[in-house]
Amino acid sequence: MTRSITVALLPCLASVWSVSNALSLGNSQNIIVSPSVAKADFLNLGKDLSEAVEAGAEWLHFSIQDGRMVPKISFGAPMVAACREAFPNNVVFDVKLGCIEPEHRVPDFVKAGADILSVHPESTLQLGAVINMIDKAGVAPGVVLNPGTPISAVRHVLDQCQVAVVMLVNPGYGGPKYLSTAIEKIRALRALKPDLHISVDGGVSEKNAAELIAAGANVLVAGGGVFKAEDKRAAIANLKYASFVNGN
Amino acid sequence: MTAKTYKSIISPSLLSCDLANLEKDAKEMMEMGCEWLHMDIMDGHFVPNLTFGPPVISSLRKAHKDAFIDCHLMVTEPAKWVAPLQKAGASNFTFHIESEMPEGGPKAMIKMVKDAGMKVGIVIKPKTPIEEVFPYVDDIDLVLIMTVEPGFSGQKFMPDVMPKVKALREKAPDLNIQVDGGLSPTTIDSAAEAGANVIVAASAIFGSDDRQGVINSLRAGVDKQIQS
Repeated sequence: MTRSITVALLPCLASVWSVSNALSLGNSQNIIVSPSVAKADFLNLGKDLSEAVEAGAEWLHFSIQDGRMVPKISFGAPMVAACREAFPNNVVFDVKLGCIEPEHRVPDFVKAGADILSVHPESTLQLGAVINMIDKAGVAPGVVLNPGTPISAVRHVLDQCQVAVVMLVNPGYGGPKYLSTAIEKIRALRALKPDLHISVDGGVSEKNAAELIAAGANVLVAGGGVFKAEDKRAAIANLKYASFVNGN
Repeated sequence: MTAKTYKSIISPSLLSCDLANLEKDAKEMMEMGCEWLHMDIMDGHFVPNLTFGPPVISSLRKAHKDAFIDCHLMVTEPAKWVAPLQKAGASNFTFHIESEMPEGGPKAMIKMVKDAGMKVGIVIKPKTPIEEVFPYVDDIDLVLIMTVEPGFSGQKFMPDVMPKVKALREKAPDLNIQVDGGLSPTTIDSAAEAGANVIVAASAIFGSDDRQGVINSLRAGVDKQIQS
């Protein structure tokens, strides 16, 4: 599976560029819809994911939950690997590790074909070590900020990260949306690192997308809104172009 | 020679199928005569692999209303997963005797599963003595004896686990005794002779060009023992 020639041709720039055999994430000014695979048809993932990609999804969000970090078990590396077989080249696999001690999970997910691996600072004793491990494996590192996670917890690793996921809800529990806290964090993150991909997750919809984009978010993790939609193309477009509706 | 009351049951592990096309493979297994569908639920902590949880079981149940969904819980605290799996539609809930038990131990765990309306099984790892399940055999629907260290498919069958199967069959002649780990047409006779009747197979079935042939071999191995 050849997805990048950067590694072979430009080793001298390794320290400046994120040497990666994962897909390039593109410009952080692009609005990207990343539908959550948790809402897809588990019995026909290949077909369901294909439809989402054809309908305009550029990233696919895999929310890995181990039943301990969050009170649900979703799916692990075997399912990600099976999906990767179906999409070897053209879709960014945006993997969020809702696991205790993600350092033990990183090799499995690198092998399974993740393009991004985002981790929670609360899940590990030394966040920097895990981010470095992901980076060295050639995958784009990311951090996840729960409603209660301060930016100070991730500040030291931001330079190495390509993605920050701002959760609008308590992961695994649903419940209230912490919208104003999220917006403050998005603005602060955008100011700290202009080329960071800032993703929002947890009840993102057409109702709040424009506001989140205005604050500086550029990746929208879409829940049931895409996979359960009759018209996936319209569902994705409504999120992607939310800023242009109602004269925003 | 007393007639055996148990039957041959083939329970393919869907962890080894094409996870991007679960429906197709699950349907095929049932069409090929497999009575149960074996689901390996791993939390990445009790075993070093993280596979899938209740949502996948739920999807499987929605698509196959009559399937017998045989769940093997390799999780740290199985008690936490009784309600979610009952809700998801699991038919059977097998827990590790080595995992963290609720207050009241395995007895309480067994009651919890039965109260939730599911069949209940206990599973033991290769190093766990079979005597540990003896106190519970009259209260449960099956015992799963692992013939590899749980966590990954494709491992080699451990023949030295067979004395445990034999001892359990002698103790509980009517019990469903399930084996999992490296079962194939080459290892089935060993397991069947020892007394196993429920066969979990993964790579042997899904890695073969002739899945029906493998399933038939596994069944024949058990049936031969039942009729002897």
